[in-house]
Amino acid sequence: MEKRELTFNNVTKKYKDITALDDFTATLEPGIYGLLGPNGAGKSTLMKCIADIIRPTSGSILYNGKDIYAQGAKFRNIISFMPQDLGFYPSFNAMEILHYFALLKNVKLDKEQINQTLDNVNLSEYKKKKVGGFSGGMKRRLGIAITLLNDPEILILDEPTAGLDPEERVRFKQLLADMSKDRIIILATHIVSDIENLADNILFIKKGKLIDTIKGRD
Amino acid sequence: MNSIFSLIKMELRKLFSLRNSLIFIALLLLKVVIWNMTPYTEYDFSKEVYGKYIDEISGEMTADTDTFIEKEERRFDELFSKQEEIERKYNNDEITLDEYSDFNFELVKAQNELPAFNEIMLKYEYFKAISSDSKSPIFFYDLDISEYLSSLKIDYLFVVFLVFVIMFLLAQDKDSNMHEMITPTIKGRGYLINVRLISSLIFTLIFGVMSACGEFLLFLNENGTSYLNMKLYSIEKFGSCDYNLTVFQYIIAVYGIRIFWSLVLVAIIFLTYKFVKNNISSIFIVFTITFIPLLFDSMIKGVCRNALMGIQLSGVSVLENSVHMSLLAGIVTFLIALALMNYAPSKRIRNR
Repeated sequence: MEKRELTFNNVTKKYKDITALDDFTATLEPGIYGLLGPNGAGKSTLMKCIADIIRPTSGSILYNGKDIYAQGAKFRNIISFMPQDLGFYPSFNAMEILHYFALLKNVKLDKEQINQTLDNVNLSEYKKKKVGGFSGGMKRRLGIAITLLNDPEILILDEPTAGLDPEERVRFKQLLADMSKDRIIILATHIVSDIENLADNILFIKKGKLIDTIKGRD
Repeated sequence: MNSIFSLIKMELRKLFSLRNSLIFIALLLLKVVIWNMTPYTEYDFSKEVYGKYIDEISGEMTADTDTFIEKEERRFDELFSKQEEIERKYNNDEITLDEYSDFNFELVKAQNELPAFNEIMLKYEYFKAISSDSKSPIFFYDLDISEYLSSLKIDYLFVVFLVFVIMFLLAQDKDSNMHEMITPTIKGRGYLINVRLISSLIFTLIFGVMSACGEFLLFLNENGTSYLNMKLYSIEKFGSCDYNLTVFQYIIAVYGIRIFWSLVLVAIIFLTYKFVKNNISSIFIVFTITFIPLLFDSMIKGVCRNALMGIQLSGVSVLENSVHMSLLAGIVTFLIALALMNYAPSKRIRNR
């Protein structure tokens, strides 16, 4: 199997006179990476650059040596992104939302598989309930289910445990740990306890700059 | 293939929401109110007298029609020419008061009938002129149908409804905070835009037909169906129409053109939103594009006028200046919008 490597070369993102990312350089290999930093550090900006929601002002991001933006849909096929601000069409129920995203991610999912997916995130009993009535935690769990649909090689999660109860947090961390062997998982949070004993590497970001990288649980 | 149909179905579900359906029903009710409040056209002749003349000569032109017209012309000529003489005779006591009153009664009646008869004469002359082109025009009571056909222009209420519904569809991802999950998916960009365009076109077609049927039913309710098979050229106002259509075919053609341009408008809405990504600005731009041709209508000449008549949807103008130019303009606009939507770089969603 081709070695998976996500490389950031001097990635900078500026908004008028604000530098959200400043010369960010790093190479990520399969494993869990925690992005730690205060609010406004540039974590979300970095994640959105990887997810191609925004583009850097300068620099490049390569996956397996190829520019991710040049790859286009091919790269989007192997990534999954869960943003910090999560929402869904309020008139759709959980099953319909999953089905909708399965179609967008080009994943064939029958009814049984949808049920199983919802079961994995403890949402089976709410599958027919309209998501407009979901709590923040329920939406987060649905978001997690969606990000795992296409079995991505790169998983980008922005504050994934926000709104989850302690039991769900443990469950979620276990899920990530099981998946991390051959996947690049990038987890952004400002809560240290979310990534201790989970992340293989922790990247400290402040004012758009990579301040330090330390080994995590190993 | 199944996935595109499934996605189209889900997008249609968003479009055919309860809210949109209720708004459409309100729109139809508003049309009923406007229909009932719209004043009838004021004519400078009596519609009743006109109707009586039509009853006399209804049907194709025959020798009897010629005879009747000549007889009426003579009646009017004699009455008006005798007026002075009767006045003189009465003043000289050569006729009685009763005789004088009878004559005046006939005179007033004739004066009341003359404007309607003049209208019939115009129609008669027109019929004689076109009969030489191997057409067989028919006399029938055409005032109401003529008014209705003249009123078939752009459906402003429907255009407004369409703009708002589709704009909200396009903005829904951002409003629901879903755009950051959708955009990074493999089909979350150009593919999804095209799916939404197809869904919006289907929505427009269905609601466009329903809106047209609503109007047509209002007309039928008041006027019945007897006119529908009449040849359009039997209505003088529409005599310059290029096409040999019945009244019903003409109505279908105009509604069809109206729906066609609604579909083109959908593409324009999509294109505008792709570049502007802002509801208020997009609505403003689309309304400007839609209604500018109306403002400068009289200034536009020649080929451009023919093309833009489709937007104004003045049925007479479209069908008398060759509908091909209008349809061609619409198709070209649609294709350009489609190409730009898919291949032009768009404004990225900002991180704010």
